[in-house]
Amino acid sequence: MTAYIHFFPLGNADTLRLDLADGRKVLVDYAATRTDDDYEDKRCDLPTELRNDLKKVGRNFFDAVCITHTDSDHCKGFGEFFWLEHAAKYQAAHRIKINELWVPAAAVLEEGLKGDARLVRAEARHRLREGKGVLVFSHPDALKKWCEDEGLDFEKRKHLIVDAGQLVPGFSKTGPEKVEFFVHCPFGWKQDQNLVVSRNEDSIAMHATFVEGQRESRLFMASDINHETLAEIVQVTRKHDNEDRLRWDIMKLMHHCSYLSLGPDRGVDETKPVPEVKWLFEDRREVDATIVSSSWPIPKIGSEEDKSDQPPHRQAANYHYRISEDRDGEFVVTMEQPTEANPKPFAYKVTALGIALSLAAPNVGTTAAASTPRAG
Amino acid sequence: MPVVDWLADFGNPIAAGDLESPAATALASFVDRHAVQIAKVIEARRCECRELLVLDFRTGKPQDSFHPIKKVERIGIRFQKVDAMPEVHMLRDDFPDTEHQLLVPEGAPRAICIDDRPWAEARLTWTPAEFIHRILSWFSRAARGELHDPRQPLDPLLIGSPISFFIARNVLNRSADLDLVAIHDREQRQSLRVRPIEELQASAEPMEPFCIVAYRIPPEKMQRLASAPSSLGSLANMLKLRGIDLLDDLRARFLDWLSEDPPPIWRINSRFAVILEMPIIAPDGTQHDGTDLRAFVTDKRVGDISVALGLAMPAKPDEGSEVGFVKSLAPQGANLDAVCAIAAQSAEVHYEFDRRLATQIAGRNAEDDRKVVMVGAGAIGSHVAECLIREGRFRWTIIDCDRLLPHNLARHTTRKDDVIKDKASLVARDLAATLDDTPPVAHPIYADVTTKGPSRLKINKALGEADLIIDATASIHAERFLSDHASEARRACIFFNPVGDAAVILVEPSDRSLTLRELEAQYLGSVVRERALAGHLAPPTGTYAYTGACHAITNLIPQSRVTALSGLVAEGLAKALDRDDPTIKIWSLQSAGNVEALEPVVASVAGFSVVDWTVSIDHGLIQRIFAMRTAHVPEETGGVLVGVVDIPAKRIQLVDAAPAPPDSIASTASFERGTSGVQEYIERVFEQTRGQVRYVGEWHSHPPRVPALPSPTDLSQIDWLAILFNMDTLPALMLIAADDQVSIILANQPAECIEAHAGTVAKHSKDEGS
Repeated sequence: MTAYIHFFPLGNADTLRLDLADGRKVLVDYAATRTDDDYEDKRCDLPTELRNDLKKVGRNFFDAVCITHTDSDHCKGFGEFFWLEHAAKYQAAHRIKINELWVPAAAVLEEGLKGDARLVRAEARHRLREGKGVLVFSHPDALKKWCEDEGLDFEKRKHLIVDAGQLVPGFSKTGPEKVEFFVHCPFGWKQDQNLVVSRNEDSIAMHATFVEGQRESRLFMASDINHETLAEIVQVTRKHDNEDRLRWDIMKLMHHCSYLSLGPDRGVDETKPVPEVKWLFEDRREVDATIVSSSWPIPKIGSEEDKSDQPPHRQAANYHYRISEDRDGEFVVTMEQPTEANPKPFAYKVTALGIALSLAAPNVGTTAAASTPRAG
Repeated sequence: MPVVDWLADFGNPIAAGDLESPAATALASFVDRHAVQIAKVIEARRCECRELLVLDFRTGKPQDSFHPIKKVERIGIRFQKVDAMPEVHMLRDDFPDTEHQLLVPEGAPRAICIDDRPWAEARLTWTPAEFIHRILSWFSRAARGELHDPRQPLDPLLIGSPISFFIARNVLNRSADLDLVAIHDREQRQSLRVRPIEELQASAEPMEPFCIVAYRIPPEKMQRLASAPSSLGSLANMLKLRGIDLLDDLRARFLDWLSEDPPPIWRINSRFAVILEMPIIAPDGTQHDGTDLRAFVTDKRVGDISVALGLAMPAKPDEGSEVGFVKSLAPQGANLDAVCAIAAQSAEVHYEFDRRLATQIAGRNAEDDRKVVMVGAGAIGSHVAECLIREGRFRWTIIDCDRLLPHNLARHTTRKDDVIKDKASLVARDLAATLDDTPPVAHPIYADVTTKGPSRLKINKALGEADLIIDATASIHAERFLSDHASEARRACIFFNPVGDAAVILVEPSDRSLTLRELEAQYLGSVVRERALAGHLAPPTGTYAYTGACHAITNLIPQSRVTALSGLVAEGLAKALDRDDPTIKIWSLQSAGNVEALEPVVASVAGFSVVDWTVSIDHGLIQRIFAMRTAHVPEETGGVLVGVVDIPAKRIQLVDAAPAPPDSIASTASFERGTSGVQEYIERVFEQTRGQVRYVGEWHSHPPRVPALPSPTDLSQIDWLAILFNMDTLPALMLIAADDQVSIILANQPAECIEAHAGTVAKHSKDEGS
C-alpha cells in the first residue's frame, strides 16, 4: 500500500492525515475551523472529509491522534468529533474513536483551560489514570508530581511517555507501516525551567522517516514553534549527531508561515532566518522538496492582511519561494490549492522515487463511485 | 525552431472561448471546470483551421523522477482541421528525449504519444477526462522510467504521415535491381503496395512505376532522430551525419541508368523513394535489438531528380528521347536548392506478411520452417493448415486425391469457383497466397498417398524429405500406411470424431519410439476407459447423401464447429510438435459451449514378435494388470483381453484387460473365468470404439513365486483359444501375469517376457509349452 500525506485547507489551522503503508491512519492535529452553513467559507468541512475517508476503508477510528498543543487552531472541534473515554456524553455511536492519543506533557499539566483544550486535557488525564491509550511527549518534573498528586504510580506509566530524541513506540521502518517517528520537541528540561506553560514552544515537533523501495522520504512537522525553539532543536540534534533527523523531503511549515519561525525580524520584503533555521531550511532540504504552509493565502503586498501581525507573513513566504525555486522545490499554501477561489484537500504520496503530488484525472466513474446519490 | 517561434508561427492568440474545434472547446471547459488541480488554460491559438490549446499541466512527478520532467510542464494540444487525434506537444525547448514520443516534423516541438489506438477507434470514447488522464499517465510513467513497453518499438512514431508503404522483405533486399510498381488503393491513394512488375498479372487497381533505393545505416554511425526529414535535401543532411552520402550515391546510380543503352524507361519515369533501415537507439543512446524501417517517398520521378542532381535534362520524344530525359553531356553539380525543394514524405513501412512477421505475431521467437507433408486436404486439414500458415509454420506439401465438390464448401477453406479443382492444389495455393515466401511456401501432390501408380516416387520423395508428416485423412488405412512408411519423419494424426463434436491429435515422440499405430491403440484405450469419452465415437445422428449413391454420404457437421475444433487442434498440434515427447489429446465441445480437454498419459510400449505377428502392450496396461493381480493374491485372477487387430499387417495392439467376472472361480492354484458380464463388456468396447477394438484373448495371474509360464491347464486353455480364434483366422492370445513379469503366448508360441516394475523389456525366450 502506498503511504499518503494529506493536507486540508482550514485557514490558519493544522490537520495532517498520514495514511501509512500498513493501512494505519495517524491524524496530526484536528481543527474543524469551517463555519457551518457559511457558503462563503472556503475552508473544507474537515469532519465530513475524515468521515468519508474512514467509511471508504470501513473503520470508525484513528490509530493515533496527535494534538501537538491545545491551541484552538490545532484542536477545534475535538469534543464534537471524537468518542471520548472520560465521559459518557462524548460517546454517541457516530463519534470517531482514538486508539492512542498523543499529547505534549503541557496538555496534561496546563491549568485554566476551556472548551476543546480542556477536553483534550481531560481525555489525556483519564487515559493516563487508566494507564493505556495515551502517549505523553516529554516528562517534566511536573508530570511526575501530577501523578503523585493523583496517587498514580509514575514508574508504571513510563511506557506511556516518549521524550525528545526517542522514537515513537510501535512504528518501524522495517515493519509493514514502513515509517518511524523521531521526537524533536518538547524538551522536558526546558519545561522544568519555565514558570508558565508556553504552549507553542512546548508543543510536539516530529520527524517521520518513510521507506518505500530503497528510498527514504522524510517529513518534518513542527506545529507552531518559533525560531528560538527551532534553533534549539537544531543545536541539540547536532550535538547528538542526529543531523539526518533534520533532513526533509516535505515539511509542514511551522506556525502558518509566521516570520517568527524564521527569525526575530519580519523584514521588508523577505524575512532573514537565524543561522540554525537557515541551515535547517537550506542545507537540510533535499532536492525538489516541498513545503506546505497550512494557512490562509499569502497576502498581496500592501493589503490589509499584509499589514496585520497575524500570519501568514508575505516576507516569510518570499524567503520560502526564493529558496524553493533555487532548489527545484515547491512552496504551496493549503488555502491556495488548487486555486484560491476554490481550495481543496490534497495529498502527497510516498513513492520509491521520493515524494510526489498525488494527482488523478477526474472522471464520471470515480466521481459517481465516491457519491451516494439518492432518489425519491 | 525554438518553441516561441513555433508558437508565433501557429497564429494569433484567441480567447479560449473562441475555439471552434468541438474537442478543443470541450477540453478547455473541462480543465476550467473539473481539472483545476491538474491543469490551467494559458492561451489558445488558431492558424487556418488548426487550433492550439496551451495548458500548464501538473505532472505529479516524484522528487527523483527518472526523466527530467518538471512539476509543471507547459503543453500545447494541437487540434487538426481534419478529424484526427489531438497531438500533445511539449512547449519547452529542452524537454527531454524519452521513449514514447512521436517523431515530429522538422521545427515542431516534441510531442508525446499518449494513445496507441488509431483515431477512428479512439474517437469513439474520446472525452477530455480520458485525454487528461492519458497525459497524466504518460508523465507518471515518464517519472518512473516506465514509458517503454517492451512490446513496442523504441523509436518514436511518425507524426502526421498519412502514407503507408507496403513491401516484401525479399523485394526490399533486391529493390535496386527490380522494376517495381506501386499499387494504390482506389479511394485514398495513401497506401502504396510496392511489388515487382513481373509478379503482377493484369490488375484493375491504379498503379504507378516506382523506384526504391534502400540504405542501411551502420550501427556505429546511428544517432537517434530528433525529427523526420521532410525533403530530399534534409534527408541527405540527416544521412550525411550518419555516414551515408545520399546525393553522391544517387548521382552514381542515376548516371548508370541514364547511360544504359537503351535507357530503362520504366525506372527513369518511376516515382522515387528511399527506404532506410536504421538500428534502434533508445533515448539514452543505447542500441536495442531490431531495426527501424522508414520510407521517404518523393513526389518526383527519377528523371526529375536526375535533373535536380545536374545529371540530365528533360527531353521530348520529338527531341530524340522516348525516356523523357536525356543525360547531360557534361554533368554538373547538384542544384541544392532544387534538391531541397523535392518533398520527401516520410511513411511507415509495412512488410508483407512473411514467415518472420507471422512468427512474431503468433508470439514465438524462432521461425519454424520444418518441411511438412500433410496428407488430406479436407475439412480438418484445410482449416488446420490455414491456422498454422498464419502463425508462420512450416513449408508444406499437400497430398490429396479428392476434387472439391459443392457440398465440401460447407466446411472447407476454399470458395465456390474452386469446385471440381483438386483439393491439394487449392489448399497449397491458398497457403502460398497467404505467406509471402520464395519459393512458394506450399506445393501440391494430387494423388492417393497409398497409390502404387506413377505418383508413388514423388510421394515417397516428399515423405522421405519431410521433417513431419501430418495425417489429416480421417482414414485408418492411410494413418497406418503412413505409420509404417519408411520415412524417418515424425508423424502426427489429426481427426474429428464421427459426430463432429470432438477432435483428436496423436503425435509421435520425436525419436519415434512410439508410432501412430501404438498411439491409436492408447487413444482407443482411453475411449474404452474414460467416462468422459462415452459416446465419443458414436455414429453421426444424421447424414446427407450428396448423389444418391450409397457411399456418397456425408456427416452433418456445421462449419462453426469445424472452425472451433480446428483452432484447438492447430494450437495443440503445434505445441506438441515443439516438444519431443508424444501427445494424445482429445477436445470435446460441450452443449453449453465449453470445451473439455483430455490428455491421457502416453505410456511406453513393449513389443513382441511371434512367428510373423507382432503384439504390443503399453506399460500402463501392464500396470493395471499387475494391480488386479495384487488385489487377489494369493489367489489367481484373470479376464478377457481386448485390442486392435490389423489382419493384413499381422499386428495386435492390446488395449484393455477386463477384471475377473464375478462368477469366476479362483484358488491359489487355478482360475476359471466366469461369464457374467463378459459378453456385455466385449460388446460395449466394440460399440464404444466403433468396432476398432475387439476381443483378442484371455489373461490370468499366477500366484506368488510361480513363474509366468503356462501350466498344463494353461496349455489346454491355449488349445481351446486356438480353436476359437480359428473362426476369425486369428492367432489365439494368452497373457500370464506373475510376480514381476508378464508373458504372452500367441498362436501356441510363447513370446517374450517383460520386467514390469523396471518398465523395461527383459527378453528371455522360453521353449516350454511349445
